Amino acid sequence: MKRLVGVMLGVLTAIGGFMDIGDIVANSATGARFGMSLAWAVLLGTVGIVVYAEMAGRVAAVSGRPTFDLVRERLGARMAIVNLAASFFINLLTLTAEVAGVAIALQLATDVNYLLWLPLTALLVWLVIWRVRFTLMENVFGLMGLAMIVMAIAVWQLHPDWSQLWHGASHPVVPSGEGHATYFYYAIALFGAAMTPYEVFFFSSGAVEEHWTRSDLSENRANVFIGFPLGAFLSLSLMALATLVLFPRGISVDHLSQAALPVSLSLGKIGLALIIVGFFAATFGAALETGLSAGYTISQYFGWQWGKRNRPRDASRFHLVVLVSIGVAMLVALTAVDPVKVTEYSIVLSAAALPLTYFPILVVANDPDFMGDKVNGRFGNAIGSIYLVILVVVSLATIPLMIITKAGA
Amino acid sequence: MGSAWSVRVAVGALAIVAAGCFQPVGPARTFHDYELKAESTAKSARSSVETARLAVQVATDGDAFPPYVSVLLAEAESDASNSQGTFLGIQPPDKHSDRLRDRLGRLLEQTGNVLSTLRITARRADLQQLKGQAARLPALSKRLDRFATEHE
Repeated sequence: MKRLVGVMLGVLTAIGGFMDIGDIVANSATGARFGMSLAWAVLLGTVGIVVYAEMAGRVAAVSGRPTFDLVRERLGARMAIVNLAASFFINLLTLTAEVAGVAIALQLATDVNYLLWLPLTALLVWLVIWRVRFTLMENVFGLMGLAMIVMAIAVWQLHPDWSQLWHGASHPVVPSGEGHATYFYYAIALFGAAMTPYEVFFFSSGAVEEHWTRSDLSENRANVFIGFPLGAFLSLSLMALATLVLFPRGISVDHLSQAALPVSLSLGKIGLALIIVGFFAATFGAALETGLSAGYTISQYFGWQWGKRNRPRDASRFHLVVLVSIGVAMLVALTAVDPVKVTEYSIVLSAAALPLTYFPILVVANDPDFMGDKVNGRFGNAIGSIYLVILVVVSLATIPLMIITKAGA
Repeated sequence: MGSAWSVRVAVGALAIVAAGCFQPVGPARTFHDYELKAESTAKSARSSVETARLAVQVATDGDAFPPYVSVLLAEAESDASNSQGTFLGIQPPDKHSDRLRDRLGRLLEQTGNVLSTLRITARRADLQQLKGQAARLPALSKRLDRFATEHE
C-alpha cells in the first residue's frame, strides 16, 4: 500500500512538474498563432522525453550514476567539455527564464513589478535548495503544479467545437499569412520545450539523490509513462485555450499574463487564482531543478562531491555553483531583458544542443558493463535510434531557421 | 593549434547564434518594404487592443482581480507604444510612404491614448469605469485589422 501511494505521488508530481515556463510560453504562443496545427510537435517531443527519461532513470537506478558522470566517461574529457559548456549555458538561460517566471507570477497576483520580486525570488530558490529535503521539495512543487489542471477544465467550460479542435490537430496546415520556415521554427520550439535537457539531468541525478535501485524501476516507468503524457495533456490544453480564445482575436502572446487570460474568461476568479498558483509552482519547481542541474552538470564532470543530500561543508563546490548560478540568473533577469524572449531562446537553443545530451544516454543504456540485464530492448533501441536521427535533424535546422525567420518574428 | 581552432569554432558558433537572436528593424528601401512593416505594426497594435478588450471584459464581469487586470493593460499599452515608436522611427522611402505613415500614425496614437486611459483607471482599481473608457476599442481594432488587410 505504501509503495502504491509512493508510485501515485511520483506520477502526480511528474504531471505537475512536467510544465515549466518554456512549455507555458511555447504552447500558448503557438496556439495563438497557429491554432492546434502544431499539436503534433508536442506529441513528438513528449514521446521523445518519455523514451529518454525512462532510459536515464533506468541507467541511474541500475548503475547508481547520473547522466553527466557517464557522459565524460563515454565521450572522453574533450568532447564532454563541449557538451558541458553548451548544456551549462542553456541551463543558465533556462534558469534565468524560470526565476523571471516566478517573479512574473508574483507580479500577476500583486501588480508589483517583477523586477522588484527578482531578488526575493532568487533568495527563496536558494533557501529551498539549501534547507528543504529533496523529496519534500519535489512533492510540494509538483503537487502545487497540479493546479494547472484548471486549464483542461477551462477548455471544457468554453464548450468548444471538439471536432474542429481535433481536425485542427489531426490535419496540420500552415495558416495563411504564415511561412513554412516560421511554422517549423515554432515546431522546434515546442519540441525543444518538451525535451529540455535539464529535465534529464535532474531526473537522473534526482534518482541518485533518492537512492533509487533496481526495485525502483517500476516507479521510474510509472512516472515517465503515465506522468509525462498527462503533463503533455496539460500542454495541449494550454494550446487549445489559446486556439479558442486568442487565435480568433489575432492576439499574439508576448507576456505570461496573456496565457492566463483564457482561463480567467472561462472560469472567473477561482480559475485565475489557480492558474497563477500553477504558473508559480511550475516556474518555481523548474527554477529549483535548473538551479540544481547547474551544480549537477559541473560537479559530475569534474568529479566533485555533489548532491543536495550533502551538506554545504561536504559538497562546497557543488553548493557554490548552485548559488552562483542562481545569482547570475537573477542579475541577467534584472537587466530587464524580456523574460519571454529569454524563454524562447532557451528552448530553441536547447533544441540545437539536444543530441549532445541524448546520444550518450542511448550509448550507456546499451552497455552491458553498466546495465547488466537491464540494457535497452530492441523496441527501445529502435525508438531511441529514430529519435536520435530526429534530434540531429532538429539540431541542424534550428540555427538556420532562427536566422531566416528572425527568431520567429 | 587545436585549442586555437576550438576557440575560432566557439566564437563563430556564438556569432551565428547571436545573429539569430537579434531582430533589428532594418531600413525600408522601397514602398513595399515600408508597407510590410506598416502591416506588421498594425497587426501588433491590434493584438494589444484585443488583449485590452478581453482584459476589460473579464474585469467588468468580475472574472479577474484588479492587480491582474492592471498588469494586462499596462503590458498592452507598453507593447502598443513600442510598436508605434519602432514604426515611426523608420524612414519612409517616398511620398507614398509618407501618406501611409500619417494614416497608421494617427491610428497608433488613438490606440495609445485609449490604452493609457485604461491603464490609469485599472491602476486605481476602478474596474467598473473601464467599460465606458473601452468603448472605442472595437472600432480601433476593426480599423487596424482593415489597415493590415489592405496592406498585406
